[in-house]
Amino acid sequence: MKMTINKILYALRTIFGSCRNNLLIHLTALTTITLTFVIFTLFLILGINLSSFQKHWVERVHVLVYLKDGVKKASVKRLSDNIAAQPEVLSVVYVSKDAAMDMLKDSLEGQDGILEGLSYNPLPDSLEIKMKPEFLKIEPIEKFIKRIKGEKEITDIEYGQKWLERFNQFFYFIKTTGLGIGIFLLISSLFIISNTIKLTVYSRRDEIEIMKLVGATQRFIKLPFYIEGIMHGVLGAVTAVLIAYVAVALISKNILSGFHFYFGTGNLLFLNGFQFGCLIIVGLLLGLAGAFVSLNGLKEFRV
Amino acid sequence: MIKLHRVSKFYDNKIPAINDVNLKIDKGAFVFVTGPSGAGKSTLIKLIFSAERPNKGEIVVNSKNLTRMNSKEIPYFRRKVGVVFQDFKIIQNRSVYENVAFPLDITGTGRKTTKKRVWQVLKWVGLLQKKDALPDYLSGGEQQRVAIARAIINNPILLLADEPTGNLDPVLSFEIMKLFKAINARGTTVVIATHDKYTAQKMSENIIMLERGKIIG
Repeated sequence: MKMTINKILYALRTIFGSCRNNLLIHLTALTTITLTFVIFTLFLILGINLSSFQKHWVERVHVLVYLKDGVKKASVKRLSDNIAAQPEVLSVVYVSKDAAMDMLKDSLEGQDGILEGLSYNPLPDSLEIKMKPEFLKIEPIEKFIKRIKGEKEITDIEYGQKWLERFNQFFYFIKTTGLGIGIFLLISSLFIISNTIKLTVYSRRDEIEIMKLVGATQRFIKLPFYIEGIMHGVLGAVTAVLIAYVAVALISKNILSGFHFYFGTGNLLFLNGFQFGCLIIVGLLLGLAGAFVSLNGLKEFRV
Repeated sequence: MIKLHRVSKFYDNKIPAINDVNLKIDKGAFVFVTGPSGAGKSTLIKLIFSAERPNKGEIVVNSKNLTRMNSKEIPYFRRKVGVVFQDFKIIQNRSVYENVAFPLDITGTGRKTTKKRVWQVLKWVGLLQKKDALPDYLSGGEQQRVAIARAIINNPILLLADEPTGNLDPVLSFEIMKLFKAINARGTTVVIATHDKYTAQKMSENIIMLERGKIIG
């Protein structure tokens, strides 16, 4: 145990010496890895926020059923009860054309002059349907609409389907592009780490030769390089998260604070503890993989 | 201590560097391997500490058959063998102390034990005063003494030297040879490869002459 600790201490001293002797190589590598991780983290944060944004909006989706003019109250009641009995439906509220006009006037507060020229109320009576959360997706909504749209009292049904479709397409596009760019960036980081380690191996080749001469095992010779790789990966990931945190805080404070309506709280979401942990583990694994790729097969390590 | 049975070693050019060599060196011997450049002296040394593997034949060192040894066993074998080279092979950006302590560091020896051993050996080779110096500030003879101190720090059973005085003037060469003799007097088997057969003849009666990979005397 004591011997193992001594060996690890020796490896750490070696790394410290290597960092001092090859400072520029290490700094360049660390900066590049950090930058790639910053981009990766920002994509991750964008994905998290779009996800939350999507959830926030989908929760607000109502199905609006517009009724024909002059439909009798009894018929409206029958239709309303029928719709409320559907498994997807949470609640149904009848909105008369007069109530709809009042709501319109309220929403146009200060600009209600627009409505002054109207001699009659053009708005239809409607039913505002809230869906159960588990059915707030295009497919089940479409299915539900198909079932009810044959009713003779109904003129039109809408739920912002085009908007929802477009948003979903956009979200899918961002997610796929983000994933593609993310994978590309991580692979680049792997090669940066592996090339940095190759350079440090090259700068320490005389020492490695002597280590072999005096009986150092392969594991002992390679240990500092593995630790170096891990340090690059983890340090890069941690620094990137800090930079991304500052960036997100600045964007939230200076740009998005006026958009509470769209973003609920008005603040962008940041990584949670679990996501942060995963990112550090990605950095660690990337460092290990980078070291493995660079050390495998190098002639400097042949016995 | 060392036994070679019908050993041959070819490099890429197919010309044998060592050709069907049989050799026996006893424990505690002080042996010179001489011959002109390209005779196979360095290859022989490399074969004995398993830096090269023979294409044919068998090599046994300290009852260990090197030809059957797997690559994971080699480092442990090398810890019992000290090696010294013409170009010293010491780490230029580390002090004399750190260079000599190197073989102990790789085995995870504690700091106290390391310090005690390094001081003993440096005192013995006459370099204790320069323990903090970097190799650049040492003469050739002193650098070779650092390499020798490093080679004997683990109390090896066998010390191999490949042209250890090739870069030194005659006076320093003689000093280094005297050091090898003293190491041998402590019980370590010493094998020195050199092209300088006059020094060899002056220092020992046990001389192996190599030419074109074959023992000729």
